[in-house]
This record gives sequence, structure tokens and C-alpha cells, in this order.
Amino acid sequence: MEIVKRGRAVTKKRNRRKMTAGDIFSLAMLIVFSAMMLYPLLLIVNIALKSYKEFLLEPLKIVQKIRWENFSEVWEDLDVFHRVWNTIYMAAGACLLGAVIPMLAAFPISRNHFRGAGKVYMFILSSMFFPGSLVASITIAKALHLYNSPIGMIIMWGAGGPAMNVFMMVGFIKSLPRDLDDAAFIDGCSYFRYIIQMALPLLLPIVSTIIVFKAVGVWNDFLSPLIYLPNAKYRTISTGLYMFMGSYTNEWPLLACAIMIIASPMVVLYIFMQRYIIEGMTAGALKG
Amino acid sequence: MALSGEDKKRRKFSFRTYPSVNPWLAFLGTVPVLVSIIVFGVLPASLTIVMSFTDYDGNWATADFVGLKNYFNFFTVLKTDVFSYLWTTLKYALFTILPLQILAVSAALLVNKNFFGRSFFRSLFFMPNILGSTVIALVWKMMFDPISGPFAQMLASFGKNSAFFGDPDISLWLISIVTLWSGFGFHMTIYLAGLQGISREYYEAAEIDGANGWNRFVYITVPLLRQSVTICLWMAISGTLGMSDMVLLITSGNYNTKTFAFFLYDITIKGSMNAGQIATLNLYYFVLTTTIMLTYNHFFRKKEVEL
Repeated sequence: MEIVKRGRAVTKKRNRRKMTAGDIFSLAMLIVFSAMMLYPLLLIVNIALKSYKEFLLEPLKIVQKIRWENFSEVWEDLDVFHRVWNTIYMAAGACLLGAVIPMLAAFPISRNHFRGAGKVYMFILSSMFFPGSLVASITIAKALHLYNSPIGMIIMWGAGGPAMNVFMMVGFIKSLPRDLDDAAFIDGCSYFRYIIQMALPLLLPIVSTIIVFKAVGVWNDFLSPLIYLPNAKYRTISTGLYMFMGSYTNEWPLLACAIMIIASPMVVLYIFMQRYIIEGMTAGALKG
Repeated sequence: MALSGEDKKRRKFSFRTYPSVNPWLAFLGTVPVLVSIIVFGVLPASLTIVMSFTDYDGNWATADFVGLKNYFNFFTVLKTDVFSYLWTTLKYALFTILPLQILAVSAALLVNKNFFGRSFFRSLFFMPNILGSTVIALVWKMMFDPISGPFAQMLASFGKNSAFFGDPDISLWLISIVTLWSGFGFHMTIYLAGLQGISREYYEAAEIDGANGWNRFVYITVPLLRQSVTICLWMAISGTLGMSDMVLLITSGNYNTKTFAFFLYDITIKGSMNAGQIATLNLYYFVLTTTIMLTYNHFFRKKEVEL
């Protein structure tokens, strides 16, 4: 017993000595990295609280007199409520579609529920390597009346590019035991009841991953709404901010304020759900 | 006897693979995916190819079949423009891809150590990925503001000044810096997953054998991280080849920052060429990027087998 104790004590001591010797450098590096990450964001917060006059005189100094009117002005001018609402309902619709569509397909494919499932799967996967062009996509969107309509945007976001999600789901389902489906079918479970009552609960981890990925992607997507939703009524937060940027080119306090308002919901969500968000966003890269 | 009759029937309906599952219902489940792939994959692809042989310009009634004219234009009429945009893309890629990996690996090594608060650093480095390109672009426009930005103020204290994003000589490099800032956290997370998959025992064995930190990194960490490197490089290459949103947000393509992907976006939105020509350019770029990616895949897959 004593020997063990002493051994532990010795290693502990050695570890501690090593810490001070080698890790000062890495700690310093970490602080440099963090400063690089944080400084731009803190700068924005600082500027957002200034009046334009104070900003012009002392753009970098810590704010002396907070000007709260910035927020109310931006809130009205950017129409934050509608921008956020547009983004939320479109993202929600896209997530729902984006999760349900691959889920319905992934089960029959991975369980080979019909002859030729393998070929269908190959076709789905091959779609990742189709050529395409923005001209053609816009032409098709206009022809199908998906252009300049929120429903169309939801469909394009939700149904576009399902191959990766199908791939991830099929991989996940193949790791689930087959006995479960056998048991369900022997007990006379109908196919859709089986999908909803048996498959969905088992799929929750991967579905949540896909939803997180989709939600973050849609929330931050800038080019698609800019291209497909030209009507000012349908602007999302990212295109709204872009247009706001165009009309307040150099009024940095207001711009910074807009950045803060637009970014804060996501940042708050990230602080509370960082593990899931990081997992969801990197899952595609790690499993693919 | 009645069974054998049913057996025959079953053989006839060869769609069925599972006795208890209705194959038509199961197939119905794949229909939404198939429809979405046809509408958003097959249709744009075929339309792009069809367009490339015509001078279509928004109206099929007046569109003519022009054969390979659009394809030849690439090498004759458009030559100088197109190659300068490809060159810009290449410069951007070269300046982004490698530094991104170096930053990400060093951040991953720093964060991989056991210490208090490491998850804080990990989430902090990953955070730009949830901010979105509009926010990131605006934040960095502030950072590089030629009058009130911190870098401008720093230069001013030396009596110098710069237009930053407005300076054609450095604008592209600065966009690369923005990409590095916002992208290294994502790559770091992937390298971190790779690092955590490496067994401690290798390091312990190496330490007993007297390998120093650098040797341990070169001979254990790097070879065993190969899979993560493959993924990260793949993402970095495809990301830089397709990058257009940052250019649009930061410089709108001015000041020598027109990458090829942005050029394609720009001519489409402005309609400065006919759609047939744009489709052809898209196809050329598709062939180019696909060739790059396939070559990359071939090269690295081989390396992985060798290991």
C-alpha cells in the first residue's frame, strides 16, 4: 500500500514539474488564439454601444456613454422581428422536410425492403456528383413557381441535396439490430406504424444531428435567400443584414448593433447546446 | 399444393424481398428522395448541358442551337478573363488551404491536453461556424476598416495607412485571413477527433524509448492523423474552389478578388452573358473541380492503403 501511494505521489510531483516547464508556451499560445477569436467580437459589442460621434472620435476605446437608442433604431430599421420570424419558420420547415425525406427512404434502402434497393441507393449517392449551374437552378425554380416564395425556399432548402443525409442515415440504421423489425412485423405492425413507432425513436440521435446541421446551415445561408427570395418582405436575417449593410455603409455603431442583434440568438443557443451543435455540424465530415 | 401456387405468384412479383413487408409501400418511402433528386439534381444537370449547346437567353422560342461555339469561346473570346479568375482562385486556395491545416492542427494539439477549461477553448474556436458568413464578413470589415479599424489605427500610429480590402494587392490575402479565422475551428474539431483516436500507449512506448516531443509528433501523431488530414484537405479544397459568398460580402468582386466561383455567380445574377455561355462555363468549372477532387482522392486513397 505504502509503495503504491509513494509511487503515485512521485508521478504527481513529476507531472506538476513538467507542467510548469513545457506548458507555459502552449498556454500562451492558447491565450493568443483566444484573443484572436474574441477581440473582433468584443470590438463589435463595444462599438455597438457608442454614439456615432463617440465612434468617430475614439473608435477603439472602451465605451464612455452607452447609447441605447442604437438598438431601438436598428430594431425598427432592420425590422428584426420579421427577419427573425422569416428565418425561423423557413428553417423549421426546411428541417422538417430535410429530416423526414431521407428518413422515409433510409429504412427501406438499408433493410433492402424491395428488390433493387441497392440500385436506388447508388443513384441517390451518385447525385452528389451531378454537374449543375445557378442559371439552370434559377430557371427551374421559376418554372416550378418556387422562385420568390417562402414555400419554395423551404422546399429547396429541405429537399435539396438529400444524398449526404440518406448516406448518414443508412449507415446508422445498418448498425441497428434487425431482430427489432422482425419482431414488429411478426406482431403484425403496419409499415407506416413501424416507421413512426419503431424506427423514429431509434433514429432520434441521427435525426437530431441532421436537424442541427440543416438548421445552422439554413439560419446562416446567405446566397440562397439572396438569389431566390428577392422580395423585401421575405428577407431573412442574413439577407436583411446584407441590405442593412448596403444602406449604412459607414455608420459602424448601427451596423455593429445590427450584427449583435442578428448574431446573439445563435450565440446564446450555442452556449447552451454547444456539444450538440459541434457534433451535428461535424458529423457529416467525420462519418463521411 | 396451394402453397406452391402462391410461391409461383411470389416469384412473379419479384419486387418483394421480405415476406412481411409490402415492397410497394417501402418503395413509396424512397419516392420523395427520388423526386427531390430528379428536380434538384437531374433536371438542373441536364438543363445545364442542353443550355450549353444553345444561345438561350431566357426565352426558348428565340434560342438557337449553336453547337460547340460556347465551348470554343472559353479558349478564344473569354481566355484572358477566365484564366485570370482561375489564377485568383488558385492564389486564394494556396494561401488558405495549408495555413488552415497548420492552424487547425496546432489548435487541436493545444486543446487536446488535459487541463481545466479546455472545452471552453474548443467551443470558442468553433464559434465562428455558427455566426454565418454575413456576420463574419461584417465583423472583419470593421476590423479592416481603413479609418477606424484597429489595424488602421495601428498603422496610423506609425504614420502609415492602407485601404485593406480596398487595396488590390492585399485584398485577396485579407479574405484568406477571414477564412482562416472563421474556418480553423471546424478543422480543429476534426483533428481533435483524430487525435483522441490515437492510443496513449504509442506515446508512452515512445517516451520510454527516449523520443522527444517533436519526434513523437512527426512519427506517431502525423502518420496516425492521416485520415483526418485527408478529410480536412478535401473539405478545404472543395471549400476554396467553391467560395463565392465572402467575396460578394466583402469586396463584391472588386480589387482583384474575383474568384472563379464568384465570377460564375456574378455573370448569372447580372446576366452579362447569355445563359448558354454561362452554362458552358459552369460545366468547364465542374470538370475542372471534379478532376481535381478525383485526382486528390486517388492519390490519398492510395497512400492510405499503403499505410
